[in-house]
Amino acid sequence: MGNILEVKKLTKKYKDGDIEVTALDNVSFSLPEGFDLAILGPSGSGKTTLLQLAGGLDTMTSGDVIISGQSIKNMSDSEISDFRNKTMGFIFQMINLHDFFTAKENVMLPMLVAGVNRIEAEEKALKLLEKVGLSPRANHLPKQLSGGEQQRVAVARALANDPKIIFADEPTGKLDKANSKLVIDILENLSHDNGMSVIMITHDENIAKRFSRVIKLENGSVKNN
Amino acid sequence: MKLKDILLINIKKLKTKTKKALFLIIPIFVLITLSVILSSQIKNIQAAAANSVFGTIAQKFTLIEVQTEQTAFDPSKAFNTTSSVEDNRFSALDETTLSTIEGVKSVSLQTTLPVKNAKTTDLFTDKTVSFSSLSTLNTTAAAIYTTSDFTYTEGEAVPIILNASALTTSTEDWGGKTEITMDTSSITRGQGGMAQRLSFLKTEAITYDKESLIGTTFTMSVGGLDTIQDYTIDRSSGTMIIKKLTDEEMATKVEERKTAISTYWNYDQVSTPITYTFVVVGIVDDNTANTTYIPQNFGDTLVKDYIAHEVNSRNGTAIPTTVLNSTFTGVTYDGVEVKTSSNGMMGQMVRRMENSSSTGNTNNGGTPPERPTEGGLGFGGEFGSKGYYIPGLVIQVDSSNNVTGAVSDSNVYTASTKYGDYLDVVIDNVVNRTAIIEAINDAGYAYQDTDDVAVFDKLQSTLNTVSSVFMISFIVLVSALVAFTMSKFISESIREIGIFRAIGMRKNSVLVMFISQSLLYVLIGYVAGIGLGIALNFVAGYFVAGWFNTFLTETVAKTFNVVNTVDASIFSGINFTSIGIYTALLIGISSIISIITSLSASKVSPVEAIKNE
Repeated sequence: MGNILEVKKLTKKYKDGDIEVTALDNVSFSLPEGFDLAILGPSGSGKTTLLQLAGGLDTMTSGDVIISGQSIKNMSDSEISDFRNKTMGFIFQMINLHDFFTAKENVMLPMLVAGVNRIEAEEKALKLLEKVGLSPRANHLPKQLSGGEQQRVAVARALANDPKIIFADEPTGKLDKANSKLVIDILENLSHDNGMSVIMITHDENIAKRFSRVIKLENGSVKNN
Repeated sequence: MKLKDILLINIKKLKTKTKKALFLIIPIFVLITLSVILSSQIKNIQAAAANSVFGTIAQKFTLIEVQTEQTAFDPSKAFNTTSSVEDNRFSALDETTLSTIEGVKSVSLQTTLPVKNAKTTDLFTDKTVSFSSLSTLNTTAAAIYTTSDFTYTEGEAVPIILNASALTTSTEDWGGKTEITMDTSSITRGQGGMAQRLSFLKTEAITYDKESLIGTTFTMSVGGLDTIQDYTIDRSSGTMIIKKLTDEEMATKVEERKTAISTYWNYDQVSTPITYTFVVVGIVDDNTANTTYIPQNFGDTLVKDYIAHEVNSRNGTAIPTTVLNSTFTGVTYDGVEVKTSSNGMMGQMVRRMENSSSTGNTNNGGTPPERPTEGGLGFGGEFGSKGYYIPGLVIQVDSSNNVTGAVSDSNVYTASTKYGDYLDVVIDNVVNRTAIIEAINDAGYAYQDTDDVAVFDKLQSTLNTVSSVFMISFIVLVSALVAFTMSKFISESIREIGIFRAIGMRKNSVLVMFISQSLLYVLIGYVAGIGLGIALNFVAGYFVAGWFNTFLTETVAKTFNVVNTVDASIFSGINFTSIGIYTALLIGISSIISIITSLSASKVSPVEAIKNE
């Protein structure tokens, strides 16, 4: 069995005025297919930077990221965009739905970006909303939904193109306990059902316990593996 | 991502964020509404000024007759054969020069044909009308005087525009006497022309009905020998004694001429004019060039026939140059131009004589005619040349105007360079007249206009200013509006763009999404603006018509006696050309500004979506 994610000597430096800051320093690890990963660490330890680089949202200073056997290092904007669209799903702490789209339309969006026709996209969006328990809310705008409901829509959207890997950046950070549990449960069930790997940043040790792999970051380096 | 889906996103955005969209839609809507009304009303005012103010006079103002500079007649130069009077005259080159002036629709060189003795006997019952001057006119210039197509078609009656001043007829009335004495002592020196008001010569204007004259077909004969003067003038005493020649004396003169001509020509043939059928299509009654107009494409045909008639009438005997110099006159050809001057010895003088002394009457409206003489020189043959005019005879002269022989090629005129004293400049609109006249003067042509159109000049310059100021404002405002609103939309959409990018939308799709958003809003404002503009234009037209009528009665009427009322419907006209220009400007500017501003949207990093603040 191969690795779903390989991070090799990943380094990210940026300039803050005249000072060079090393956000991520020579981080290496790999995650075999079928495994999930929780990334723990205090704020400023480089968790979000790691997620951004692994998801191809930002450019690395050195090192490499290989997802499902493909290096994303030298991809052009179009290539990484298409790759992100088809292979990855994202769930953010700030619930990032488009406020002018209904729940259904938000879920349809990654499929439309992929060029799927609207009828197919709509069917699949409705199925996904059913799975996250939001069928009756399909035609509601985000502002008509609760925070927990919005994050469930975001989960459905992340799953829209059947990605191999889902990146989640503290998806329950803004939710109460009950909703947090619900979102995590749904995410766990759906990803397992579909053989997806979830890579989640969290500061909650209890949540981390539910993951098959955990790494801890501190000052941009892996503390243990 | 499919373009259709991108557009649907924009429609969705528009529906849910209508208020924001209106920030761009409403200003564009207002600007387009204004541009439709303003540009239409400006054009309507111009049209009203041109069409309705003077009725037929307005049309006259679209014609500028540029005339050669008239140098005062200087007798000391009369015999100077190198006199450069011709140098001032116009040619095709001048047509080209003036054609380039903006607002000039056409320039037509009026070429006076080198033919003589053109007359008709069947246009009016029992009256002979002579045409002392026939000129060519192109179709555009002719449109000032006629609504018919002014072109010659072989086999059909030739269209002709008559000059009212030529519609006169002359008769002799000796009152039963054979001798008339005139007291010339009261005639002021320098007004020699007055002496030619010979009391036995009666010229009367023919009354005609313009409406019924138009469409009339008549026969015109061109050529034929001059009428032999049937009197002599004796000025030896203080009084002028005019003696009618006796029949015997006349018969002798006719016989002398016949003998002279028969030496070289078939007399009957050469003395018979050629004829054409014309149809009256217009009547000019007030232009400066007192000439009758025939179509430009008929001039060469007529002159060629005229010359060929003479060439074919020759009996084979070569005409010696000495004889051409002394006995016969015709037109001259110096290798460049076929001129209506005589055999060169008189130069400018002869040209003047030829112009004013043909048959029956002149066209200079008022001065009674001088009778033709056998010398073709007037003044009772005082200059002594005994030249019989042979119609169609082209005398070849060298550069010093010395006679070298008779031309036998009837195509000589067709191939020659044409000159004329008038250029008919037709302009597109009376309101541009002053500007065009300035340009004509700048081009080196002296033209002094009456200040009649100054009132319209002022109106026009105001309209031009309004139009320019509005167009510049339009460009600036559209640019600023699109730049400002789009920058605002984009800066407020950073997280939204980040999500699109995180989901996998390409940079190009983001670019297309924002460009199309901007253009969609502009388009909505545009369509609504065109609709309301056209609707409001009718309302605006009502008010502009009221204002314009006040302008007419209070300002224009002071300059012109004739002021027609303006039909209000003229102000409901829509200026589609200007709307087209504004449309192009709007699309062009908003596209460019949209692309520039949207580039910043496509550069937004997907990291923006993940920021936790």
